[in-house]
Amino acid sequence: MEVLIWPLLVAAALLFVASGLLAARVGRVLAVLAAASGLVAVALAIALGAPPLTLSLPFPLGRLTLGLDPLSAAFLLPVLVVPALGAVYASGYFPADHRAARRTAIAFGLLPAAMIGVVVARDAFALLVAWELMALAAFFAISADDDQPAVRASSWVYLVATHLGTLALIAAFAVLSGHTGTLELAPAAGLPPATTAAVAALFLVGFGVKAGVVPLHLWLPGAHANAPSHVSAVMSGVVLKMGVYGLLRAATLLPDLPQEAGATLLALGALGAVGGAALAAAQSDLKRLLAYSSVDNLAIILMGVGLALYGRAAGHPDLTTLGLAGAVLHVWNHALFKPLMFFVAGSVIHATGTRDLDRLGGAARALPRTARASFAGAISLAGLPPLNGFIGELFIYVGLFRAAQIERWPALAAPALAITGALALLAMVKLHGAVFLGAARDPAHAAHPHEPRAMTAPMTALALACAAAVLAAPLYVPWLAEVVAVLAPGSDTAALTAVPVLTVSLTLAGLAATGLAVALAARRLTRGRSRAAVGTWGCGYAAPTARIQYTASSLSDMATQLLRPFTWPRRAAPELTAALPAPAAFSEATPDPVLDRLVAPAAARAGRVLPRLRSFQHGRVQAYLLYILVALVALLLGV
Amino acid sequence: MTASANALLGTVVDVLALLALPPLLLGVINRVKAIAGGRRGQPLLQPYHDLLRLMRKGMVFSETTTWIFRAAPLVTLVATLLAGLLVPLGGGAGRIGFEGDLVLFVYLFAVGRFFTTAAALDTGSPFEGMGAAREVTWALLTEPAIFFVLLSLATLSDSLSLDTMLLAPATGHVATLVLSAVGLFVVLLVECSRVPFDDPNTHLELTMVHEVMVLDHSGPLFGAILYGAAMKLFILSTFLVRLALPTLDDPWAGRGVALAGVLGIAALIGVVESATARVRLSRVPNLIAGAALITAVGFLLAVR
Repeated sequence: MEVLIWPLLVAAALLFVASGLLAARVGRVLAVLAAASGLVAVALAIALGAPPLTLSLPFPLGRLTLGLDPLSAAFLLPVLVVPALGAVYASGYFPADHRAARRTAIAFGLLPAAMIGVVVARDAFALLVAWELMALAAFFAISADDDQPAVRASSWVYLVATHLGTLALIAAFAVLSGHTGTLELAPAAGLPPATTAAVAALFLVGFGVKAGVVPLHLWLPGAHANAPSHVSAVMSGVVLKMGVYGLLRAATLLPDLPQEAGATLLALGALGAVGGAALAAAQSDLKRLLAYSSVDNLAIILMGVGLALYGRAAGHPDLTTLGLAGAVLHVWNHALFKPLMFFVAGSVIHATGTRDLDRLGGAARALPRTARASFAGAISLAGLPPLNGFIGELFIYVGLFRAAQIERWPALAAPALAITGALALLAMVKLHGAVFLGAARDPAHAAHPHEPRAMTAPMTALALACAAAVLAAPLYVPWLAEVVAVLAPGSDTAALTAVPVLTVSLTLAGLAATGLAVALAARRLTRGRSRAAVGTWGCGYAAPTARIQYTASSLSDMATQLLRPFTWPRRAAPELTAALPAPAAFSEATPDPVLDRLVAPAAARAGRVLPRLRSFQHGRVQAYLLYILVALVALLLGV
Repeated sequence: MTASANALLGTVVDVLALLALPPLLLGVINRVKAIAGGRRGQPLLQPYHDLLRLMRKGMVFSETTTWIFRAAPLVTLVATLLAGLLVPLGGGAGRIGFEGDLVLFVYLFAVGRFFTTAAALDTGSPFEGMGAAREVTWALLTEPAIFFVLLSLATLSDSLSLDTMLLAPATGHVATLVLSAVGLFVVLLVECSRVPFDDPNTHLELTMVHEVMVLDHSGPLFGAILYGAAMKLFILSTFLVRLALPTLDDPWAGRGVALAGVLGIAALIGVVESATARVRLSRVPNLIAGAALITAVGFLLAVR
């Protein structure tokens, strides 16, 4: 049976590519087939173990090595599932007569194929080729609406950022292979500490750009907000995770990573979690909010990875186990609820024509299925019981508390995670409340009933998966020990059973069941005692309009102000001085602190200052000779 | 009586106390405030009568609302009840505690917050939106405070289960326990919407937090909200008592001390409400942040 694994996986990649080349209705079938074929391969690999595959290809490719260990298998699951659901969603969502329909579909099909390559590549060259293919496919997929300036701008920012990342990766592999003499991805023990540190830093930049590690996240919000929603779903649900995969794979290459590396990741994770969540809560653009929430969730995953690497270096196997288990669980869970929320966002944009939360409201009536899916996704995303978002965070919390009992300082990450949780709750209440509850704030953007099956089916599937992931947790959590064994071979994984997953799972199921039973009983008991045909009580105000509702921005304003060091909002508030003030306007926006308030102004200033140097380059040969003379004299004097 | 039967009986008594006693705390608070104000005050059991009266009434639903509005009070109540089952009143063992249940404890209250604020937004009322905004913002500061308390307890007791944490005798760390208790008392006042952070008896919707979020609820569902809020007060008081009072060897004596302590905390809340005025809304975050810092100092003293 093992011989089937590689053909099935290659078939999955080819089917994904083919799904982008054909019409959407055929393509979605091929994408689902691709996912099925790949899942069978992963299941076989998990059950039987996959033999590594070495191919000798003609020049210039050379020897190509592929492998499928538990770490690869863990990341293959979202790589296979999310794009297939995305293809189904796109067949109902993305207009076939869109001016870039064909290019987007091809890029969207190439993307999962490239990611399969990233995850199974076992030599640096193959990894870099697949990585670059993934980056370019993502670029063409997110720039679908490139007739709009905002889309062009954010796509270019993405392209520059991802290539700076690739540059760092090439440097990292060059240094590494210079020491080991091979391009194969095998553990390199016994490196000098300085080299280990340099390579680790380069990997952190290279993979960190993709994983949205703050402050390298600067490309992420714009790219996610401006891409078509099915592309955002795959970007956020899967492509970002490739950065996490890269960091973990890099950690297997560097078994001598000092504990400072884990501490750095933990600190960056805590910073990114609070910062990302604060920025998410402050946004008033539906998709930007979700994008920042991805920054926050990826940072939570990074905290788990940091804890695991810290535990590995410091000899605390339970920290390694809990941290890595939490990270992998959150990778999976985030791959369920974040694509779900991006699908919801796409449906809302279709039905209302805007993604401005301050203009939406009351969409639950026109979009009941979308509203239900969004509610489940919001609970899950906020990490609340009884849905799956809670499980991964529970492992990371327990890991942090264990760390606090052993080592003290990592304890500070636990309150940071608590603030993150509270902020995520705020962001999700804001999102769901502003879009689906109350009444439409702007009649021009009231929701039209538009819920084609192709769009609701993937959402429903993901929402059900969020619940099923909790019930099935006792079945798959023990397997995580094998993933831990890839990162830290021979490590004791007893800590996996420290959190009694079965009890947790049953408790959460009990919570859901009790809630449901109480609700049904209450409905029976109070039947015939309710009156529904009245307006909301306006505290005595006789002429309420939908515009007096609290807007999404008002809801989060207190928190935005409280967390100014993270959110750095732009606020134009009129000062009321006279008794009868003149008409005034108030506005508030929260642009990205790194991109819009640091990098872009600095780049603009450089663009103004540096052209002055052009006066040296004017084409007069005599002057150039003079420069040479001056340089020579300066050198002679200096040396 | 065998030991296991004794433990089972203890659990039953704990659960019955959790179900039956919460409204009594409101009665005690009211009575203390009345005495401090020189009045005779309402009967001690008046909150029970209020709840029964609400249960008999009909309900009015705004046409803006969806199922979330109807489900929220019940889901909040169930989540609160489950959180209550995690906190030991007297002896441990026998309930659903597990390693790491302290995270579930905090997150169950978050479930209540999510549903309550979502139901507030469901009405479309500007007042309820205002209350929701305050509720979710203050949680940004109370949650880290609770986590610092939990971190202190986890390091002192070397356990991650509330059962063990709250029943383990923590000797020699008086400073940590005092600071944690002070911080937690402030958190309790915030979370249970008491003066000086919120005034359950105010008449002005603009100044409320919790009460304004449930303006549109009526009848049995409003009763469920009041009952759930009282239960939250009972649970956090139990937590505080277990933190502050020494653990007794005999679980029944421990139970008695805990119940007396819970009533004492209700009386203390009454005293606080009589002695202080509400602080200005813009100053509330500073106060809660102060409480969070106090708990953080407590943690630092615990691990020093």
